[in-house]
Amino acid sequence: MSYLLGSLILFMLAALSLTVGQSVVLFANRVPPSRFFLSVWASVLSLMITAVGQFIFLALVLTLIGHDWSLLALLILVLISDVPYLLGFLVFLPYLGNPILRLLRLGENLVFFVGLLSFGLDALTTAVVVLSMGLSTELWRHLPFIDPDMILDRIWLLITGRPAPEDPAVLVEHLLETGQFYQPEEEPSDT
Amino acid sequence: MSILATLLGLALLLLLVFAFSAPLEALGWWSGWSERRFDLSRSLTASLPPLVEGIERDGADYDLVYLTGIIGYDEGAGGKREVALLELVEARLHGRVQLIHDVFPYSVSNNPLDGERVFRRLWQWLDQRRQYHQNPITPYNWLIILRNLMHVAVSADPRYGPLNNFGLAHEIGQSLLRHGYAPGSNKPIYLIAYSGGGQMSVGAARYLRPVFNAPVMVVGLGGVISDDPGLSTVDRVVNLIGTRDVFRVVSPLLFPGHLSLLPYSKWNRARRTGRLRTILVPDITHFGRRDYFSRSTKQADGRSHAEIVSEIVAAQMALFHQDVYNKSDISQTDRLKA
Repeated sequence: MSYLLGSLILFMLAALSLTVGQSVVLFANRVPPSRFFLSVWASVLSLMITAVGQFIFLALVLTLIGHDWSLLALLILVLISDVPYLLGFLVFLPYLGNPILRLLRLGENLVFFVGLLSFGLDALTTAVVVLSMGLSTELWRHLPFIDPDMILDRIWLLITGRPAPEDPAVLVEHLLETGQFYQPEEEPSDT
Repeated sequence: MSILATLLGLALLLLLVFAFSAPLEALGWWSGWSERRFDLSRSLTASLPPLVEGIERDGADYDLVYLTGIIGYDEGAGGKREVALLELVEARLHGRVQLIHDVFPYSVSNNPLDGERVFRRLWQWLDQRRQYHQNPITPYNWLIILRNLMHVAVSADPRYGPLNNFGLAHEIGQSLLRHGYAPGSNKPIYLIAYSGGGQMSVGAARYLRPVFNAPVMVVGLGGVISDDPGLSTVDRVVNLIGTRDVFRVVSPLLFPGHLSLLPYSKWNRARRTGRLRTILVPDITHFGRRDYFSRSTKQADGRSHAEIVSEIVAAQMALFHQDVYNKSDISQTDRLKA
């Protein structure tokens, strides 16, 4: 159990570090200081949802191929796969930030690869599973019955009181076109 | 060995401090967190700023903004040598030239290093100290170079770049208006930039062009320019590169978009369409006595580097001017070519 707790702490720290690294989105969307730290936690929550998705995917795949797996071990693997993101704050670095993020993503996949090998899977199967997981994160955004982006946007709105952040380039274009800063739309009232 | 390791460690620490703090200036400005925040009431289209004394509206044929290199410290042209080169360019152009050099490109809000800053005294001290040294490679210079270099990285970054470059375009635009540029006149805007100023110019041109709806030309003197989206917007980029300029070799390593392996990069597209031209100038280095501004170093034909560079710059500007207005101003171009 202590391993699980340790993994959870590492996961939280990594998520926090990555969120700080990607905080340009918060500044660009003119999130006020009072909401800033709430927004950071909204980002952490979004990463947790991704981790839940990864856990469900791996649990399903391992069950489908008839491989024995333990709930605790899989949970720990999913949590520690984000350990490379402990260096996520480096994503804040100008110009080098995006390449660093790609490296960290590669690191995450490597942790999954090594972790699944330790589960007793052979190298080829492990590689296919890790690649499929990467593909599925892209595919599930296009499923007809669920819109994960909408869910993440809802969480963001709930915590920060603002709609999902926009890309900085889009925000500048908006300012150029309208002469106004991007203002989040008011949520429709139920009453 | 331990001293060397300590020095390297300190250098790395400084690098990280500058790197992490560089985006904060643009982010604080945009988000409204810092005191120097973006003010919409200063919008370019809302009202014209007052003219600089002695300047009349729409009085120049060439509106030329100079952006200094990463060794720059304030909103001036950077030094006597740079001003001298600009005056040579001015003398060679046929027509009235409005020379503008009051924009500090390594700040989103045109805030020079000796401006409203927490570490203002530190920068002032460094600037005073570097005056005593003839050699440009001093720690005092390097600290300023390192700081400004990180702002070039901010401009080249696809995340921070739009915010930073929009701010710079806004400041350049304000300066143009103060110096008599008439909005709506469709007169071409010329940006001459040394070193990292090249990136700042191309980044700013992305927004300057649509705001003024005017053609924009960037002339780089050893310009360090990334694979910036501004290359798709700017009308012409002419980059003069000395054959002994270190950035001739380093640029493709810093900016993979320059490699011919990536034919669809913005850099290579601009080259193919003729909007980006590179002119090699013999024997010129990026820094030092043999640089673009040198009046003492002469080439075999007896002309100084500054003379050669100013001739090429003026000729390219005149060509662009002619292309824009489609005038048959052949005599001027021929004279400059000669």
